[in-house]
Amino acid sequence: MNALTFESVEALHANLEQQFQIIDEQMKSAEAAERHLVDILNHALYSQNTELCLSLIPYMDSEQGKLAYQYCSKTRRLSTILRIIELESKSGKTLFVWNCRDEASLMEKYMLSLFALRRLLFRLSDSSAHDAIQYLRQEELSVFAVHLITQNDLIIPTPSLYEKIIAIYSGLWNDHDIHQLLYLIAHSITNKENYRHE
Amino acid sequence: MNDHKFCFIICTNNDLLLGEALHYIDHLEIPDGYEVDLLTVNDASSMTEGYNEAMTTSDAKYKIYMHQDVFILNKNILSDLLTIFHADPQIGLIGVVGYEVIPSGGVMWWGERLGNLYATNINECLKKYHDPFYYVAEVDGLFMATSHDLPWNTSLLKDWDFYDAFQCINFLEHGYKIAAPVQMQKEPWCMHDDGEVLNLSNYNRYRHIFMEVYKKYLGKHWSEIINESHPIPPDILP
Repeated sequence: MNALTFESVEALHANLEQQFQIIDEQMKSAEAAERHLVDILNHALYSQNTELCLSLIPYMDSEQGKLAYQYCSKTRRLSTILRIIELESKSGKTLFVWNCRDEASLMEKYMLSLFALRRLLFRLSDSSAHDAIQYLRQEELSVFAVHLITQNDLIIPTPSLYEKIIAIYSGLWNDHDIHQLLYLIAHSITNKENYRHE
Repeated sequence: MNDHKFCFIICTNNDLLLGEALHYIDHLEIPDGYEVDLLTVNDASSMTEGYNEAMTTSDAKYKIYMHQDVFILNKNILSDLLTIFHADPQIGLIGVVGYEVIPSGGVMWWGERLGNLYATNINECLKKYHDPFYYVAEVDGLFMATSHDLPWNTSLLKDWDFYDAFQCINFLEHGYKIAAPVQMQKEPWCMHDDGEVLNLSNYNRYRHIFMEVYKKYLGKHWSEIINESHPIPPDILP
């Protein structure tokens, strides 16, 4: 192995400095984009304006939206929520945002839903799983919410997790809903396998 | 110092995340004869200030400094930590993700990583590293378990960056080894729900400070650092 020369160390440091400068500039744009997203969302939720919420989806595909998505976990989660309500809206389902009056309560609902799904997955204890089931029943998540949260966030869903979720929502979801969830899961798995093979 | 006591120390500014982290801690198996304590520090001015404040108020020999967005998945983590600490009394610090060499540019996570973390590809190291744990130069501050108290550097570190790198060097310079479980972590011990990119303007400033203060260690293996300082800590000399 060649030892690092003075020139190569200098080049490494110069390269790192440049990278940090780029990241710093991009972070500023990302944070501004996230603030814009949150401002619009607050207004949309306060006035229960679904169309205004959905108008943020094209913004997520813009250069600013993509930067916010890259650097900010809140934006990534808000993006997931927007996709959820887009699908729910098209399917005539109760929207994920229905009981949220601002971005803070929306994020809290999202996080608590995610926590409940994880607790169901890890089954720390009977009471932990019971609390999770109670929460999920109370919030009445749609198949789209379950699918997108489990596919997009920091959780590795198992077939057994989906079986438990389907059992929780057996009184709320009809056969079409359940088939839709299974189709979405299969579609996601196929996409991931195609991505691995590319 | 109570050598049958663990203390979790968490700096926090988010009740939702903290509540969930504590839910996982509440489900840990406590080794026979041991007790567990918890100290949370709200609105600390810096990670080092918060950690020092908590460290000096706890008599626990084993202190676990972790982020509020870390969820412990291994219910037997306390026993597993004791297994590693007892395997070599020179081990003073354990983390779940570690690095054998101090990277030349000072950025910890751009080096080759050992250990494991839920839903990441860090566990690729399992194919190459076959022992229960390995000695490292640095561990990620998301989870740091110590068996000895050393003060955190509040004079140089005023924010939320590089506290882990500085403290790791501190332990090595005092002759303590640092370990990261590898084969003991076939299933990851922790999940880290961070997501946010750090405030990198601060991060880069502290990176420069780190490289200036510890320039003699840049690019060095942990064994070179520990041997340059004290070979064995005075309190564990026979």
